[in-house]
Amino acid sequence: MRLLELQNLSFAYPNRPGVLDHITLTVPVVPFLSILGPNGAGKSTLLKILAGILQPTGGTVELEGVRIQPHRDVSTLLAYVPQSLHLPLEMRVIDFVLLGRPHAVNLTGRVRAYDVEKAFWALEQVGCREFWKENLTELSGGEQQKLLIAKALAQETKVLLIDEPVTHLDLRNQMEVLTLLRGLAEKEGRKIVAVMHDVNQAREFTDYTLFLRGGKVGAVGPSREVICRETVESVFGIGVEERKGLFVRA
Amino acid sequence: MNVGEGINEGVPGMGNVSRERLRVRKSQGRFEGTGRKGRGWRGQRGRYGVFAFWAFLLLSLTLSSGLLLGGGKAEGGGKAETPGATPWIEGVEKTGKAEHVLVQAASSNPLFPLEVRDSYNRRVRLTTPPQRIVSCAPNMTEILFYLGEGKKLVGRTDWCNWPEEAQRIPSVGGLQDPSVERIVQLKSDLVLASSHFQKETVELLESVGIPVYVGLASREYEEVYRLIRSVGLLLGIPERAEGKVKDMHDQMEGIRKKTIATPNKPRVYYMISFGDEGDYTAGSDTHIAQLIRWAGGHNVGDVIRGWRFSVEGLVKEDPDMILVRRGGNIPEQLKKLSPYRQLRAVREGRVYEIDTDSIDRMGPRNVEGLRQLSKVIHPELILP
Amino acid sequence: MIQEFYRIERRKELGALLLAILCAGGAILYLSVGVVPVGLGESLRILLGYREGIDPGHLLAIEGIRLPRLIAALLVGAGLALSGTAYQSLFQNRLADPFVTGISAGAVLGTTLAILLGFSSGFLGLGGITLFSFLGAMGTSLVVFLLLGVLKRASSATILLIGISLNFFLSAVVSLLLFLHRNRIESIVLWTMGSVASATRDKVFFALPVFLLGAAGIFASSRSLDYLVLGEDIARTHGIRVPRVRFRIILFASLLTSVCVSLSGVVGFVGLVTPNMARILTGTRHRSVLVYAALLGALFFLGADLLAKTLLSPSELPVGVVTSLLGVPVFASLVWKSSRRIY
Repeated sequence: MRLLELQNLSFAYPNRPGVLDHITLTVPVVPFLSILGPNGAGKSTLLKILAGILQPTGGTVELEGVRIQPHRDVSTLLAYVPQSLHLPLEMRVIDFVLLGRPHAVNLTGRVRAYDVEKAFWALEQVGCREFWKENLTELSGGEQQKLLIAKALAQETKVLLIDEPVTHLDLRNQMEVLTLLRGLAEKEGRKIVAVMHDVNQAREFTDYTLFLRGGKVGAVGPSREVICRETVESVFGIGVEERKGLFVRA
Repeated sequence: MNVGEGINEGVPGMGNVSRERLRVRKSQGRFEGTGRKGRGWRGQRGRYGVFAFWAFLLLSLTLSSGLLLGGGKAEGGGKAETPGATPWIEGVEKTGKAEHVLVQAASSNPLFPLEVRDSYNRRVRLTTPPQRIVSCAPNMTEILFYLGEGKKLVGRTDWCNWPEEAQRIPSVGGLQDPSVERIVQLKSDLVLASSHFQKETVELLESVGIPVYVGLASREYEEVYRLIRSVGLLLGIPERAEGKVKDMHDQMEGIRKKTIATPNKPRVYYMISFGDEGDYTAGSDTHIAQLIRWAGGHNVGDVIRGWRFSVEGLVKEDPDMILVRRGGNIPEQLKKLSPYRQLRAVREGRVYEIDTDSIDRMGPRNVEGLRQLSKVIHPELILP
Repeated sequence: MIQEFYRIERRKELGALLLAILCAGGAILYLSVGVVPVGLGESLRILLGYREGIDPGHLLAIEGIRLPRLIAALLVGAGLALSGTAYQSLFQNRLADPFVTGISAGAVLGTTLAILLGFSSGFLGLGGITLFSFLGAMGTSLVVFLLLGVLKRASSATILLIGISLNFFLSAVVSLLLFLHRNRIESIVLWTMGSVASATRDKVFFALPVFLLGAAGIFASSRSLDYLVLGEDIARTHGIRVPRVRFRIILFASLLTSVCVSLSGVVGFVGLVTPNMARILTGTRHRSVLVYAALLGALFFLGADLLAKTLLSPSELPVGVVTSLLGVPVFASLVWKSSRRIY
């Protein structure tokens, strides 16, 4: 079984062709896959296609052996964490996480005990259990990100698809979230696919990396191998050198 | 040094961090909060708003200055003292001096020039008897014809439908928004108006030199006579007007003498509208209420002032008879509609259709109106 | 912590019960108050079926006027609140109200046509105005759906834009008609101010099943609404088929709004304020929010109509005027308190 199998996958907007250009690749089952690449390379688009949000204009997608199609209910297979959430209302943390439990509300309108427990458990996993009563919009960026993950966790799916988990966070939060994700990926057979920007972080925290450039595959392979100077330079079009284990501008 | 190392002891230990430090209001994080579109958008709208405001101001200034310059301030018909105002009564010469009229008016009338104050306490000045009158109210039209000066009518509103001859006169539009252009085009020298007339229209007409008399009559019926007398004065026929008023008064008195003697006063409900259109009747302070009282009835609407009643009020008052306007077969409609169909008057078939124009319009036709009301309310009487 | 969670849930349920009791109390008060002097005891006796010794005028007042009016007030209050809640969640906007899709303008057009064509009263026992305003409102929804079908990309923003354009266009048509028939302006304008004073048993009989259908449809969409609040993309990942669900919600909300408008004219603020109040009281789960909204809406409308018919007795105010006057300070305090919750 493969984690990902893409056959000739293409995607284009009406006024923008070639967002994804006939991609064929397979990714073996790994706990943590990162997708990297320059802006506009099609990373978020690929993730949305994997989540079933966008319909590819050509080709097929299989996630863990399941064919992904937009009208198919994939909520038991994967959980999607978006880049940002525009909440028009105030919502309690616990209520937000409970949304990850699709059948939490029974016929009489009450919340099932099992689901409440799972929601609190998910909060525990991300270390946010005690602000279950807080208003989501009043929390810091780091906490909100963790809560997005908590909700995805509460869905109890095998796959988590996360779009740019740490891009807007400060250093401490970045470390906390990445460590959290790493921990989650290694437990209970979960697989995480995350779109990221930082090659250093990807090399440190993830197992497998897919580089996209201009809608095509730049490189794909185990993170420690494929994140090397040549690949980074050719994908990003910038000269880099490796210094003390990090890539810095040359 | 490896960046990921050593900074975090692991997530489950997060619990000991205090909440205060973690909570940050107005976070720049993923959640953008309650419906704000972001400062950038609002800033842009502010810029457009300012621009729009100045553009609008400029536009309205241009328009109003155009209007002001276009017409001069002239007073009365027959005088053309303001440069730029066009004299439209032939023969009037511009002398630049006030009060100087060279032309002989159609009939030299010792009453003129005269000045009258209308219901808004405005001064209406005429130098000669008006020959081309525009009436902007149905009752004014009726008064004009009643006084025998119907020939002088050159313009009327869509609603002026009495007498027949009036309908052949060209219309200048509706009650609230008659066409000033039309009035000017008709070369009118006096406009008679009533309550619907807008202040802006008055000012506009004045600014092009057409005198406007706005006549209102309030609750006391005496006011209607005063109105007719004023119009008569404006037309230069005060004695004739006085005669006509006396006529009206005598006729009304004649009827009143008969009705006043009746021992019973049936409870009458004057139904202006009902059902989905709201329950409206004539309140105690209306002239209609006065007419009903003179006709020997008790006006059920006296419990309110103004026009707005309620269906429950109607049920409580339980009138002896209901008067409705003609058209639409209202008596039949009432029979089918709840709760009206349970009213005594409806069940017993005492819903009467009457001509409401002669009652609603304050003017000479109120005599007919009164007579009509009296006949309906006291069919047993023989009226003069 | 979990304990506290359940405690709060219980409190919410009690709150709903309390609201229901208040509604019942308000209803009884409503029935006993009015121009005709029927006392509390007598109105209760009439409700329970006693007929002996009852003045026929009083009987008429209760059965023929106040009872239909009460039911109409409850229906309209609850209906507007429900559809307001649905639209606020669907369009992710707390300022949405039941009329965002242009329905109110369609209803006014229907009424105008009814009055001008002379169908204004006594048509099918319903009143032409009731029927035409309902048809006008539903017709507008139909137009919205047709336009959405024609356009390729149907997002929430598109729907709102269509609603705004329809509002302007239909209002312009109404203005034109009014201009050509100025003698009838007053009746039409008064109807648009909103009033349930002309509620009759026939109208309520017609309205009740339609209301129940619409309300059931909205309640059935509770779960979808829960997810739609987060946005279309997230909703999709939870298995919500967004275009289909959106169509269903707009359909049922339109049905509700149309029947409300046909009973009462265009009454503002109820559909805007009560969903926000409900959310402050009970959170974001639609199964509770909808219940609270319906109860609050019914209560609010009942209170407003009570004021409308007693303030100037025996004259009456249009209830739409009262809801707007009451609604503004309530809304302002909501906005001020918006960050503090009760649950």
